Amino acid sequence: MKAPKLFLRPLLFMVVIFGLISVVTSATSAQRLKREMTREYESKALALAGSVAESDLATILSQDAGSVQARIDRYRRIAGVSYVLVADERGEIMAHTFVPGVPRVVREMVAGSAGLPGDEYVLRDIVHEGNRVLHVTRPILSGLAGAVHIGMDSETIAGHIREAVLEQQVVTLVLFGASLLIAFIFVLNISKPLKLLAEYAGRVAAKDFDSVPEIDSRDEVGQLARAMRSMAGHIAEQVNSLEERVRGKTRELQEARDALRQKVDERTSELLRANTQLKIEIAERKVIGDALRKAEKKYRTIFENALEGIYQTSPSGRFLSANPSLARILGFASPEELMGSVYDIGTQMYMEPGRRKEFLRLIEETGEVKNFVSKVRRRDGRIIWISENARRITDSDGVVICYEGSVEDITLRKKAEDQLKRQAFHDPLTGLPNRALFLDHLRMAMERGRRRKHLFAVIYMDLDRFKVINDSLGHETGDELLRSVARVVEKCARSVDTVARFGGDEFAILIEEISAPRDAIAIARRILDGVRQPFTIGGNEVFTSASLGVVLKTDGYDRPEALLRDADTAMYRAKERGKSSFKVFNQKMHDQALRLMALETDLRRAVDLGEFEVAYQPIVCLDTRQICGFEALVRWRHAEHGIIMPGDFIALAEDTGLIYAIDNFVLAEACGQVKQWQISFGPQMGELLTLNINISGKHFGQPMLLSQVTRALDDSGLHPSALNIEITESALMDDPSMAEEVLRQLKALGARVCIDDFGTGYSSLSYLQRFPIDVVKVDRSFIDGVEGKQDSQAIVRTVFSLGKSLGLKVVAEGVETPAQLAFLENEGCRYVQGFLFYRPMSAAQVDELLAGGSIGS
Amino acid sequence: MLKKLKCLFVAGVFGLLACCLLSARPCLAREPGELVFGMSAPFTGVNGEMGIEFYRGLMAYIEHFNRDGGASGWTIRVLPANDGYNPQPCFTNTVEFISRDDVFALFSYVGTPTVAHILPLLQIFSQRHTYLLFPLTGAQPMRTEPFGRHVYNLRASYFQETAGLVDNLMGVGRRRIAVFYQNDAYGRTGWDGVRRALERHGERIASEAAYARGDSFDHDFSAEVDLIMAARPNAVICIGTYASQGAFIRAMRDKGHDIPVAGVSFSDSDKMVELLMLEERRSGRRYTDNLICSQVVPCYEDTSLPAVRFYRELMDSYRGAPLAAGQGYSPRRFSYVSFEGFLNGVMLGEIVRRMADDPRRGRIPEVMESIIDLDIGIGVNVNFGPGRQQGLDAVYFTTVVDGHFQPIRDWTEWRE
Repeated sequence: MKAPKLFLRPLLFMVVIFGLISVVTSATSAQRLKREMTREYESKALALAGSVAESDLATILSQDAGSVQARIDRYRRIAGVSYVLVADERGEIMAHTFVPGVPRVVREMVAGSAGLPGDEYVLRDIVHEGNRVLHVTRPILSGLAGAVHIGMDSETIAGHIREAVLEQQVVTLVLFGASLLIAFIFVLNISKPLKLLAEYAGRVAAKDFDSVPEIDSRDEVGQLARAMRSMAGHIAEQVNSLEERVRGKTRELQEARDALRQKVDERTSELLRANTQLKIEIAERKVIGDALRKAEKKYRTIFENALEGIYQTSPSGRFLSANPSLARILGFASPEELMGSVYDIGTQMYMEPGRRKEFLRLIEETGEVKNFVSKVRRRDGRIIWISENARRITDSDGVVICYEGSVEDITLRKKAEDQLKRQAFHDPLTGLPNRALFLDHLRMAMERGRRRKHLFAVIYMDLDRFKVINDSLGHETGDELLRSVARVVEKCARSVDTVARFGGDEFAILIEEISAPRDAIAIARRILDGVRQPFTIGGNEVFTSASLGVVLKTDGYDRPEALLRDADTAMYRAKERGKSSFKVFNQKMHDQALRLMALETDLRRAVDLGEFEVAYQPIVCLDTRQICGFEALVRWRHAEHGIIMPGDFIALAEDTGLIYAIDNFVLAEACGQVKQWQISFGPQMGELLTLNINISGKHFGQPMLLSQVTRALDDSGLHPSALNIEITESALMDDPSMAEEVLRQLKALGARVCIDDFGTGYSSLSYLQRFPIDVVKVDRSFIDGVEGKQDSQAIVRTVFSLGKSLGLKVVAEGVETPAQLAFLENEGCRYVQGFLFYRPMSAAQVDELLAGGSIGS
Repeated sequence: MLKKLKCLFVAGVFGLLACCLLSARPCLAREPGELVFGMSAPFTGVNGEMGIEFYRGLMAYIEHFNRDGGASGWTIRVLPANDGYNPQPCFTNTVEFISRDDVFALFSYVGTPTVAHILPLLQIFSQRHTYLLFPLTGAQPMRTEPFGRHVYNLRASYFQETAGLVDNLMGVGRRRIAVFYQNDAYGRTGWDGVRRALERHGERIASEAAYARGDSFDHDFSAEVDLIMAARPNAVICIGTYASQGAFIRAMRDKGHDIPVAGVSFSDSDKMVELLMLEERRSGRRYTDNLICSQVVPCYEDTSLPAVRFYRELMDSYRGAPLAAGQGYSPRRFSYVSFEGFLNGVMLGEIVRRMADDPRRGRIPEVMESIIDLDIGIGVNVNFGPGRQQGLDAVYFTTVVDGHFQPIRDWTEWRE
């Protein structure tokens, strides 16, 4: 049976009250029980103690401990007794029931109660072996015969109390349950008719007025039932009449509704058609809309994520839109900040005033700008370079709406370009402009000179003996020296001038805006003086000097290269004239230069046409006074100028590289000739004929030399030991290790090596030992001097003794006088060459000479 | 006339009745038969063997006595009842002996707490002349007022035993004496004896420890040993049973204390030594050194005494037992306890003999008083006489050598 809701609240109330009652009664009855039981135990203990004290008086007085013990042993079995102890009047324990001994707390109590006379018993709570004990001390004969101590176990009391309280609670619970049941039945009695009425009211609401509940009680519930019955009758009547009216109205409505329904059906079918149409349109629009959104999103993404800045600006110079990259390039946190901050691009962005105007002009002209490079200021003040591409956006009437474009930060590129430009036009070592830039400046100066009266000069400068310094002190020192010289030269020049380094130790200076040639001369002098000063490099003092060529007359040149060439020529002249000086280019040099150019042309043609001939100067053996060999000498039979001596064209041939062909021609020609002589005039003398061939220093370093010699020997059939290759000292010393290798290979062929002009070059004699040298030619300058100069005599004498001791063949050349010959003979000279015996002669003359006996006079 | 006759008849009836009453006395002089004695003793438990030995000793003589035809035809029957050395069973046994069995007297009870507990019964049943003869206890309550007059003791008291031990130990300089005692009337009496003896020497008990009655030989008394040894005594007197005293001695020796340990007669020294010897064999330690046992009967090895010879003769032929023997028990051939029982039997026989003409309970004090200088063959005479409740006063001291008891002749062995 479900408990009526009316019952719940009283139930809760009763539970609370019951809880309270049980707690209170537990507490009070526990207290009361404790009091009562404690009192009971106290009286029990006192009774026991009294029993011991009085009934066993005799044994106690007789101090018969055994009897006393027997007595108190009996008490131990009484419920609640923990221990019994009897002490005499002095507090001496007579008997007790403790095992193994009397606890300290009890002993103290016994001792404490010993001296106290009187009949008063003492009650105390003590703790013995973890249990609470009620200790009773009862004096015997007012303490005159000692005292009885009894311990009552309080735990037993507590146990009793617990049991009693539990019992009480159980009883209360049972009572509570019973009252609950009664209350339930009572409430049920009240709620049942109420429930019936409630159900009836529910039925009335559903218009069921029958089955009225029968409740006849005379109380308030009965009244309520009667009132409800009459009310229900009343309602029933009203409802019936209302229903009748409603039925009439409903019929009318039914007819109207049928007519309406027909109309609605027609209209509905129309609407359905329209609706279908609309749905199709909506679907189409949705598809288009999606595509648009996708496209918009795509382009938006591109716009947002582009690395380039993208913008739209108004013609007035305001950003209409910008993407994050543009904001970033211009140093703004967001496009919004950028658009909010910049209201005039022309003044706020561009560094150059008028740059915006230029932009607008370009875009108005062509409709777009491309690679429009400008310097702009970022928000943080930094200057960057940007490149813009933009176009004009107009409406259908051609009115400008905005400009749309992209921006690229090209600062880095710009910097790299500048760097490259600088590297391209400057010398990395000294930082000076290089040849290209110099020529550029020179070209501009020449143009300015053509346009108006503009005087300028060009100086070409070369350090003297720089190679020596470089070789002896090292490249680093050389580089440092070049840097120092560059600084000196810069200091000597003015700010308008251009100082350039062309490479190596060559510098060029463009002196501009001078009033008179002497200004340039003054600068040249200053440079000479400055360079002459010692430089301190790496702790060493380094001395150097420069040779300068100056071109003052700079008009009349078409090409800057020609102007430079003339300055170079003047510089060479200065060098030739002696170091540490300058030379101004003049007409004579100009002519000479022109001549040289002509000569070069002729020389090329001569090589092509074979205009060279070989002359042979016999070498005489002093032992026999007979010709023992020839030195082959080249001659140029020029069509217009006749015979040209080697001194006039060899240098040019070396410069132009024609020397290889010339040397080769001489080699092949002479080898063939001498072989022929050996055959014709052998065996008594012809077979011993030797051939000396001069090889240019430039040619000596070429790898083709060896193959040329080999071929000449093979072609002619000349025995290699008959061939002496003459090399100048300086040719050997240019690159000693290379020279050593070449000489060794020549020796391997069987050819011999002869040092020409011995004594004029470097004074080191060690190379005589180092190189495989067979013959030494004493230079004619020493031979010239032996007639008068003591030191020349000494040198020649030394050379001969050196040759003897090293086993070298020594040849004296340029012997022209008998006195010279006498000296040489006296010094043990065996081979001579000179006008005293024979001049160089043609092969035909040699033929005659040899045919005629070939003995020199 | 009728009235006269009536008077005569009444007088005649009265006369007849008076005659009958007067002649009743000779009617009680029954034919010789059996005198029944109740014996409550421990035959099981921690003191069980003591009771058995005691019973065997006394029954050896009583069987002999009965075999010989008793005294003028009066034979003796002993009803043994086990009390397990507990007062309450002993009390029940005693009540049954008196009310159910109507015993002639109570005889050879064992144990102080048990006997002390039934003493009031003797007072209650004093109208029917209930006496307790020769209990195996030396406690004072059996010897002093108010109940001592219902008890006749043969053996010396614990006071005498303890006084002897104390005096001898004092004599050899052992003045610090501790007491280990049973926590009941027996232990308390022994403790009191020691206390009184020490008081005479101006000393107090150095230290003491009690134990609960019923502790077995397996019990560990280490804590009690520590309690006693804390006062550094130079001798310990035990008032205990063979089991507890043996366990205590073992604990003492296990803890390395080798001071002398003395015990009183009640400790059944034979059984105790047997237990200690077993323990020695088990652990390899020495437990039987420095032991002193006071006895209240002479040594049963001393065959110069006629009683000893007689005892040994009868014991060898006796096979009985009060109960089915418990586990591990085998009857000892001879022991102090059985010897004491034997002497009890001898004394009981003597008492029966002395009232064989008319054995009545009421005659017991009279007969006991008549026993003066009675030689029972143990070297000293038994003396009761008027006012005396105790027949012997001799105390014998023995020690253990190689597992055997030897009388102590020279105490200087234990000089401190």
